[in-house]
Amino acid sequence: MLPRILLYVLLIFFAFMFVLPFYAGITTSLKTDTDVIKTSPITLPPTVTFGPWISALKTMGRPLLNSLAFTIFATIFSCFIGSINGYVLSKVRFKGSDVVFLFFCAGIFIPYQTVLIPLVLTMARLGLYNSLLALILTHTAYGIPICTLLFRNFYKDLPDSLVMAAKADGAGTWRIYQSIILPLSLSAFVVAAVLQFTSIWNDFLFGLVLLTGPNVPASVALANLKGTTTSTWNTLMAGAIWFALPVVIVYLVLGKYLIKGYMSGAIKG
Amino acid sequence: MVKVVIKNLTKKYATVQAVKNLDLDIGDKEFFVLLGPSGCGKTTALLCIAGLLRPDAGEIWFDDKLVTSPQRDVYLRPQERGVAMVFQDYALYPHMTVFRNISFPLEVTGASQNEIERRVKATAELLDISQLLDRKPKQLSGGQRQRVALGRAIVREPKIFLMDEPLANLDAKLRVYMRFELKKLHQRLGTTTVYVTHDQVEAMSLGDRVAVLRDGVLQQVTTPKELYDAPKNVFVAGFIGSPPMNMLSGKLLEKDGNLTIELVKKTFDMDTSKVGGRIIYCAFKDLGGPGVRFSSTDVAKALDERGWHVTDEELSTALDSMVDNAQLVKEREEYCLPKEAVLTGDESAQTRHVQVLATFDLPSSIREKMKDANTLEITLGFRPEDIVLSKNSQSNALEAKVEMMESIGREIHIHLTFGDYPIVAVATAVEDTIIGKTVWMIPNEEKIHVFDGKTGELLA
Repeated sequence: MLPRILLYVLLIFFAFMFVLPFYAGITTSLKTDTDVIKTSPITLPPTVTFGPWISALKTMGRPLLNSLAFTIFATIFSCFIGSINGYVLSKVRFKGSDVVFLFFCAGIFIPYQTVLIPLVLTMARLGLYNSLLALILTHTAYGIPICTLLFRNFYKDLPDSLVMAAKADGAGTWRIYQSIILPLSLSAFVVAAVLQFTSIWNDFLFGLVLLTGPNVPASVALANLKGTTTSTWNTLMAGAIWFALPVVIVYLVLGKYLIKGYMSGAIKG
Repeated sequence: MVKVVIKNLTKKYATVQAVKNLDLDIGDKEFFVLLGPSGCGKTTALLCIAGLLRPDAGEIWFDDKLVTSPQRDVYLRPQERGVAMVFQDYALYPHMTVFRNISFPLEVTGASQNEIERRVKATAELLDISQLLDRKPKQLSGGQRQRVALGRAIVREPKIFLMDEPLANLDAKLRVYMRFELKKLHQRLGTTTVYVTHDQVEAMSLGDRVAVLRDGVLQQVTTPKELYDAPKNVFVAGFIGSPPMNMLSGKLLEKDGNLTIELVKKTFDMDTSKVGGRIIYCAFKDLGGPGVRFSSTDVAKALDERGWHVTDEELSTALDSMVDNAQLVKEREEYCLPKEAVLTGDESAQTRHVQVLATFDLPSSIREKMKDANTLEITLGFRPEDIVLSKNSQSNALEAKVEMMESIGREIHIHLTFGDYPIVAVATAVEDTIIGKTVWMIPNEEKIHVFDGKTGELLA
């Protein structure tokens, strides 16, 4: 019995440590400017105000929409391209497909910093500098390797006979993808989408170098909140919560499928 | 309806040659079975016929239409060939209902909604699965899935059915039932069918003709009865029939103007004045007998207990040489007597060869095969049901020991040893008391098979 109690004590302790910053963030964001200075971060606000939330939204409203736009499109594109790649590399296959797959995997390990200068130059030449399309393209490209890996491994567990049966039934490569592979990959799509949404949403570097002015993404706008005004911690915390909200919603909505996707290997008939 | 001609089909995977120069002629409306152990290339051949796999060489003709030929760069897709395939794991689409599973091939060809509806319903009725049309594959039993898979193949009204071990995943009872259903279905539809299996019972009961494959090479193509009665070589003889045909190796020689078969019977002897003999004696008496494993310390202990003291060095040298002489089997630092070893009380520690002569009335055609040689190495085969056992010594009978009997209901399998050869005889009634006793077996002279000892090909 004792070890079990010990386990719970430890779990509660770590859960508490984990929740503490969120708690401090929420209390601080609801405090007035003077209360922020007078009280400690973890005390409850003496007077509750939503002012910081509104002022944070005033600066971050447009950037949040920017982020939402390019994150959604880049997530969809990278997932679909990854899925098609994964299908071709695992089920269609061609001479050297394993080597091609290896190159895709190598793409996962390219650090963002190494491509910054060529990226900015390329986007500038394409006339896409400071446009949301630039970020959609960049994040789609950066997401393809990991999505390809994910889908390829997911499809590898689908029985080959399924594809052969569809072929024998007269379906072509594309028809097999549409009618058989795609409907069976819902859980893989959820995993890939959550992964991509989170990483694209949280990206700072590409947004910082490719976008300026009103086009900046939320991550950059949040950082600017700190620099432009003198330590208005309540506004900063409110901004951070606004920024975290979409990811939290994604997790809440797709969490159920996410766990299923992580757990399920093959969908056996 | 269509007949299939396969010419010189060859397919090589990275390191394995799956199919070698396969020639087959499959008749119109025939139920044709490709039979062989796993890895013999039967599925590869089937996939080539289906158009799901490109062979390296050879031609496949459907009637007078060339469907596959790497040389001429002809490779028709499955739907252009008019084939339908049933897979071992059924390969039902898990996200589709039974109805959509069956209708999928029609949807792909762009049939009208009415047409699809009509044909799916008719197929479902034929297979007695009309009540399952709204279910998903997950909600079906093995037998029902099997029917859906068949339905998906039938609905297209193909010219050829290709089946890859379709009954392998069913339990024994259902398998027998579905076998019967398949046969009935084939009689009703009359569609040319190529059926792959490793199960000889399935092959014999379903096939109009059976082709036996081994390591990608065709061994024999003929009717099930012919395959059983007149196997062309040792492999087919051993593969067809359960319990399998008994095989003894021996020599063919001429004696007093008659062709005679000399069989060699190996027995194990031991001489307890030598270390090797003592080890064998202990292995039989103290360590559990043939097939039971022991370590060198086990032997040392057993020898000590019998008062036969040996040094470690003597023991390991003796064990090594016995392994070399195949008197013992060594596996991961453990030893055991060969399973077929028999203890006799003779004086030499060597394996003894006992020659047994048996005279059979052999056709003179064999004599031609012997050519000028005086003797010819052969393998003598006879089926378990073609043996008569006698408790008394008889001329031309082979002396054997009864090891065990198994009753499987309508017949009894008697396991005997003839030297170190295991022999199985089938009888309908036999006394229990003969276990452990010596009997004489008389193979039915008319039903013996004589194969070339080297090539394994049939001589007579």
